[in-house]
Amino acid sequence: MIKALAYCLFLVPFLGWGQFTIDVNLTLDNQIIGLNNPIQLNDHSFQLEQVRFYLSKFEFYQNDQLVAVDPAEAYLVDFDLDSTRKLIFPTIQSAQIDEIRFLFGIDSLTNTSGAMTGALDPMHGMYWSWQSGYINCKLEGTFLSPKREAFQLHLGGYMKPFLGAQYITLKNSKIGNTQLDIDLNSLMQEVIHQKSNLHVMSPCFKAVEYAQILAKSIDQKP
Amino acid sequence: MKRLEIACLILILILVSFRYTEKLWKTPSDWPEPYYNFKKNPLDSATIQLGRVLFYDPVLSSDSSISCASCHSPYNAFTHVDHALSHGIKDRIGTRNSPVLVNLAWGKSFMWDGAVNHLDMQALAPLENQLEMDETLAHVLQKIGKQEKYKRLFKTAFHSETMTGERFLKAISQFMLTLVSSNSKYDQVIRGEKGIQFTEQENKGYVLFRENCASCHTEPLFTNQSFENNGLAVDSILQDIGRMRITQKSSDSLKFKVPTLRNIERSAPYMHDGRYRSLQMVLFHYSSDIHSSETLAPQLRNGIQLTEDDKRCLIAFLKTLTDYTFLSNKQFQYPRTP
Repeated sequence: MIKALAYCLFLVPFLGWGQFTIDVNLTLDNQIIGLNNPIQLNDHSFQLEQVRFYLSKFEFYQNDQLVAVDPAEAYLVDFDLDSTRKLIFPTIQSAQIDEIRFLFGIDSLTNTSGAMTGALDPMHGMYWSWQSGYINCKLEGTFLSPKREAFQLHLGGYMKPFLGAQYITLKNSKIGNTQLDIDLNSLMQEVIHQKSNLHVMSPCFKAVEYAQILAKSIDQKP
Repeated sequence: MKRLEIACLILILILVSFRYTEKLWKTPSDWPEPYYNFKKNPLDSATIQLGRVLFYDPVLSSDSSISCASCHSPYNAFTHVDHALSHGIKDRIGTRNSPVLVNLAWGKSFMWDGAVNHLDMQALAPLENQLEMDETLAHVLQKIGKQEKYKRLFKTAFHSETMTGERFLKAISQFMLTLVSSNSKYDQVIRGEKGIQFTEQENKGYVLFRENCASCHTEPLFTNQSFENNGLAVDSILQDIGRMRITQKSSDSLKFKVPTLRNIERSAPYMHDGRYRSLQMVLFHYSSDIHSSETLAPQLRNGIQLTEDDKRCLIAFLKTLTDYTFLSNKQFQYPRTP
């Protein structure tokens, strides 16, 4: 009987019971959006062709006390690969936490630590080669109207004053797994407003500004 | 009793492995400790060999015509001959002179503008530069993944055939880390080796060197690894702003990394854009052709006052930095039996 119970307990994480998961979505005005479909925003329409970004250094809190630190260095979320949109934390029980802290991007220390593996392997194309540093977020697409124009945002930077990684804190008010929505409305409004900055591809103030806008657009849904 | 035997065996294995690592890396006496963190990438003969094979393999370029060694030849202290600027695939010409690859374990940053912050990531720069190898790391891994030779080499080095970017880059790093030059005539004199001494001319050159050059080209690495504006007029075509490209600070305008002078006799042409073909031209620059600008190194405000005899003596000294043991080391050359 005890053996059977032990087996059951062993299987719990594999069956997904109790483990904490986060589903990441891209939204625009609370509507889920995807790649390669025309999206209307005011008098502009655009399509996204590549959206990839790093989320890293997850920490889980309850009553402001650190409960657990995720051992994974980072997650590379790629909207071309559905499987990467679900982050699974096998050792975290959702009932134990009321706050999640993480980085949108990669911290400075990791950026200066040489060749890494897994999600941080430079083979994923998220590491600049002409200079050092991870690209925290790649967002590429095309404005379809009123004028056809490509936009390419490669947001990164690990040295002052161009620190690209953004600290995110979310309250996990509801018990259970969570959904992380990244709403592109504010960013795309800004990109449309700043048409001279359609290609931001190196660490700079504009890259930091865009990263900050994205960070503020991250919201948690139960 | 059995426990004691096992403990002794483990101890012997640890000592043997320690001795083995020691053989692969030895910091030259009186040199500073290397900056590279060997704990994160411990030297191993199989990984060094893998890195060496990769270094000499043109499969790293998109049309399989250019290897790392194409711009970093062992006979020229691992730099290019004949080309002022790096020579890439399809006769494309880059924007900078390929630097020597020597004593990289002490390097804190890489490339003329310090764009690369870690030796492990350095190989990515030429590999993905459109004017050089014009490849991607992912595609190179795909290409070598099809070769039995590399399956064998990765298996030997990492006990697994899995080829990741991390393993690829760390293997190349390991080979580059072994490129230590510390046995020039200068080194032998400094070590007080029997029967080795500077000639009168070399000795006068050494004194002049210490007075005029050593603040930047600091011994024993012959670089202080800083970024300086050494008074070169801006090339009107290249318009290279140097370190400022990375930091975007105007105070870094026209500053380039101070290169090592080790093996300088073999590493012409000189400067970040390879504009000088001889050491005589370099010394003419420092003595008579300094271009003044806001960021010019203060030591060069008035140029370096040198007579023609001084220049001859300085060049004689600089030639004592040629390390023939390094230049002819078979372990660094093309791996004929990979």
